Amino acid sequence: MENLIINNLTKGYFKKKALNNFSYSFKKGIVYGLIGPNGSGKTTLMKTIYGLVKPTKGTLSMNHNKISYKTRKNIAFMPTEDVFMPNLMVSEILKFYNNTFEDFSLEKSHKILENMKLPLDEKIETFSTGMKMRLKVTLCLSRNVELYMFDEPLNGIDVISKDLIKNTIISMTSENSTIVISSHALNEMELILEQVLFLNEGSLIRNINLEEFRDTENKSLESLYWEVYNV
Amino acid sequence: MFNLIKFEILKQKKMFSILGVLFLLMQAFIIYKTSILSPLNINIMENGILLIFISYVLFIFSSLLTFSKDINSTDRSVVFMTPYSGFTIVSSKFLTTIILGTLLFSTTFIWFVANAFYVDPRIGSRILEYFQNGRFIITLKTLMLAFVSIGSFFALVFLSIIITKTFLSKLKFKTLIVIIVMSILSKIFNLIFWDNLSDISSLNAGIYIIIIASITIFMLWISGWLIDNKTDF
Repeated sequence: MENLIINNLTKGYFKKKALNNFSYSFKKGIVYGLIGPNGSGKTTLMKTIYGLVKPTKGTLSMNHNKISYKTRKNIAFMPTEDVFMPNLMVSEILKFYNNTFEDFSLEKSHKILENMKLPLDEKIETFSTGMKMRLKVTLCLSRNVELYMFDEPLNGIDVISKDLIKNTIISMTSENSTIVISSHALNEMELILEQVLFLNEGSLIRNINLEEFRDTENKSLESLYWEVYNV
Repeated sequence: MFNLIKFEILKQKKMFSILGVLFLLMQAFIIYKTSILSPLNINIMENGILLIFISYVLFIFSSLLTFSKDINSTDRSVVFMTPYSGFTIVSSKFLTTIILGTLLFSTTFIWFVANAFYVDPRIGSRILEYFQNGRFIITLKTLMLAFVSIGSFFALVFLSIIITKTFLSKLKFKTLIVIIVMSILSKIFNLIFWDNLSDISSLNAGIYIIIIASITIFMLWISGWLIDNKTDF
């Protein structure tokens, strides 16, 4: 069943188009991968779905509701940027999230923090890139929503953090949840993705079911990437 | 909204800590000076007035800078990722500024009066003299008008910052354009309100306060609408 429907979505910044007539319907319970080179529109697409970027043209709806600040109640989004002031403590951010999102579970967040090996009473300014990334993933996963989106969750972090994040994303989400992950770490993501959307210059250029792909062709996701982008 | 206000107050923790230290140092200076000078030397309080002035400038500057950073930097945009409307977010930032500003004003006022009494106890009778002959009502009216006007100033600057982010983000001289627009708007505002206040005692302050407060709410509403419909984060 489709829960997120996007029709002819275009986002333009003056002459440049970050998204160009993008159309797709995301189904419940599937783990999607957004793949593409830098500037292909992955982040803009995620931010538009979350209502942070306003579309120039086209429509987006989540369970038949037009995307707006209200639909954020049903979507958990982990942006690639650090969105917290560095002088805040982890506990202060958890408290803020708990008071903001009805579906946020403090208990679950403490459990994930423990899994992620993160302290509760430390300021974010003392955190490494990997720790900040793990915190953002924790906040996202501590919510109980239909759609989770992670923008480059494995970007610029060490192997251990990558493993922790990848395993936690899969173990902490329910089977009915839709998960959308954008990533350049193709090898690491290959085993958890079910459907892969290849983007280029804001358009969807290829849409592949990875299970079927694995059955029919003996190729890795990375070699498919090279093929799709003709490099 | 209460949740957002609490979160906004956390952001100003550092600035208020700095101000607290400055006032403690000033207190130590006043105690030291009164111990070595004549105890009735009220001129010592000139330094106190200077510090109060600096603290107000710092507060205004810090509040506007915080708002501008929140709007323009992605690394502080967590509030804009919440399921609250733009109007609720802007209003919470506005109310935080008003609450903290009122707190700063009341604290510095009490601090100043208490120290003035400490330095020269005769100041009490002078204050009582000042407030005789209906001056108390005039002072109250002026204070209330100043309060809503300062509020409208903050709302105007907030709106200008959002307009810069929304419509002028790609322009070269956006800051200059905003300053010009703001100056024109505040000039119109002054022409309508403050320049007509030749005799504040005969003024129906209530009507002026309602009009200015309505304009302020309208500016906050436009800011919120722009955040919901036109601003990209």
